[in-house]
Amino acid sequence: MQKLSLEQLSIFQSRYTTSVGYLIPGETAVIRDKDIFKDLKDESWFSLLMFSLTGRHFSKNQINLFESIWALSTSYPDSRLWNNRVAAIAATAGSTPNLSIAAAVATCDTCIFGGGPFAGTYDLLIEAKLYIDQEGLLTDFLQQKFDQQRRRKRSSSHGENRCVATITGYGRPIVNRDERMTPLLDKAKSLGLASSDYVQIAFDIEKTLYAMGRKMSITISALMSALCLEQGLSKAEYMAYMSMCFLAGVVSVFHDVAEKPTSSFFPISPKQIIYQGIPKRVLK
Amino acid sequence: MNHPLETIKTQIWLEEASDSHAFITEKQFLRGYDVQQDLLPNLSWHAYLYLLFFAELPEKNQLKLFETLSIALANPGPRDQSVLAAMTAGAAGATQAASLISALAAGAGVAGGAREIFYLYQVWQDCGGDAQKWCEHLPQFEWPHPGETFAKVDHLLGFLPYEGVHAHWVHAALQKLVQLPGAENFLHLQWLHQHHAFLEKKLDSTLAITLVATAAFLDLQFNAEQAELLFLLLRLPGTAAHAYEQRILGITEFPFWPQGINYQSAV
Repeated sequence: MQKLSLEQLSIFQSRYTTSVGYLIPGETAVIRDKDIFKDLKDESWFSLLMFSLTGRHFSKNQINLFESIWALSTSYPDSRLWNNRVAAIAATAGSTPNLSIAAAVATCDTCIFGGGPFAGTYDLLIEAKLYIDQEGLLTDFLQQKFDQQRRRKRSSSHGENRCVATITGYGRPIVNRDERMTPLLDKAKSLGLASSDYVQIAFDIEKTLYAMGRKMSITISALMSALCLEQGLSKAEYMAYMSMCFLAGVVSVFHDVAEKPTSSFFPISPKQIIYQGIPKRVLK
Repeated sequence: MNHPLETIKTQIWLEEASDSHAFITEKQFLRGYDVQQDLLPNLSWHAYLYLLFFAELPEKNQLKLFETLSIALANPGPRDQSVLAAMTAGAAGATQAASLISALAAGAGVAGGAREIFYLYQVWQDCGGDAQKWCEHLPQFEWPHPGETFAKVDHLLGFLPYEGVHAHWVHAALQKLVQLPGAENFLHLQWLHQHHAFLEKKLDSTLAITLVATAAFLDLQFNAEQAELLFLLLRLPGTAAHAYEQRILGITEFPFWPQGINYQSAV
């Protein structure tokens, strides 16, 4: 556990040491030793993002994959989806685009989609690979996870202290099949980036779950994590890169709702509030 | 085509529509009490706030503890990360909501923020009143469940991330909380009051407000998630005031550290 000393604090007080970059007002900005206007002027936004975030140069195909993960997997402009709906409600209440979208992005950190499953599947795949590398069987590994799940008594979908499932990334509550799997996998294959240990393990987990009698199909977060693990993203880099992955859907929904009259997005009448509490009473 | 109407279920709130307009609420009831007729003229803000979370009104001593804790938390001060974030948004001239959103984001974390409260509930459950166990458990604390998007804990939960035991306003706040009427029944606060010096000495760290707030929330019988929410909420008043003050002062009066970036080439 860390404890900052007074000496450290007095240094940090007026200096922040970094290799990411800085602004030279009136001139330019530096990103990881590169001049944004000279060295990086022809980069795509995604290429710039990944370079700025990681300090590493990725190939054109890798950048294409990172962009496709966002484009194909998380860009649904359906205003009923919870993160999009937050932006929609803010829009119908006449808020600003930035406030609405910030709140929607915050709502992408959940136990059932977004941040939770991204973090969960990333760790699950690393753990599974370690287990297999040490000659363990996936069946035993998954059984241990089911046992943990049973003991901890925490659900991802309801109740107190919700958190992601121990085998997150497999099985969807309403429709088991994830329609995004084939398009993203095909894309990764076309880029030559689909054959790897982690992708193999991700699908082996699904196969093993079925063999164990658990009809839990692989979902997109497991594939996304597998693909990004293979590109060498650390967990922190992966989580930061994915933080705005739902943006295309969110901004479209916000704009669409904002163009309509305020207060018109699924208005709720008092009758729709079903009160299940203590009957009417008078304060004593 | 008419679809069945979607509904929202609640044990907290009842609304009765106006006879002449289905989307206008004529009467509101909180936990069965008429808000306008009964609660508005009779309840304090904190009794009302408590009633939002519990089925019944607080006992007199609980209410006093809730109010006093709220004052202790109301202004984290301009050095606190949540207030700094809010003031930064304010100084930049962002929307008022941006200040509060910034405060919530920065005040949500594991280092002095609301997630620390949530984790401390787990520590309290694991260690109970065994002070020695606290000293062994805290340096090794790790949140055991998958999919957590908050940062890993890298300081002793409930204590400042600095070396040594020092005089801290939090000691005085704890002292006042255990002197409140009926405080002999605030068992978590009493335990902390009796053992904080032992913990501080053993851990060589100074008590933080997060541990005091956790004890108080436990004594008020809030669960871990409610305590996490209320810690965020109760720190907003001071945050709002500081953010607004910096909004008026503007960007030139707010730190920018013109020479503050120590850039080191990665090569």
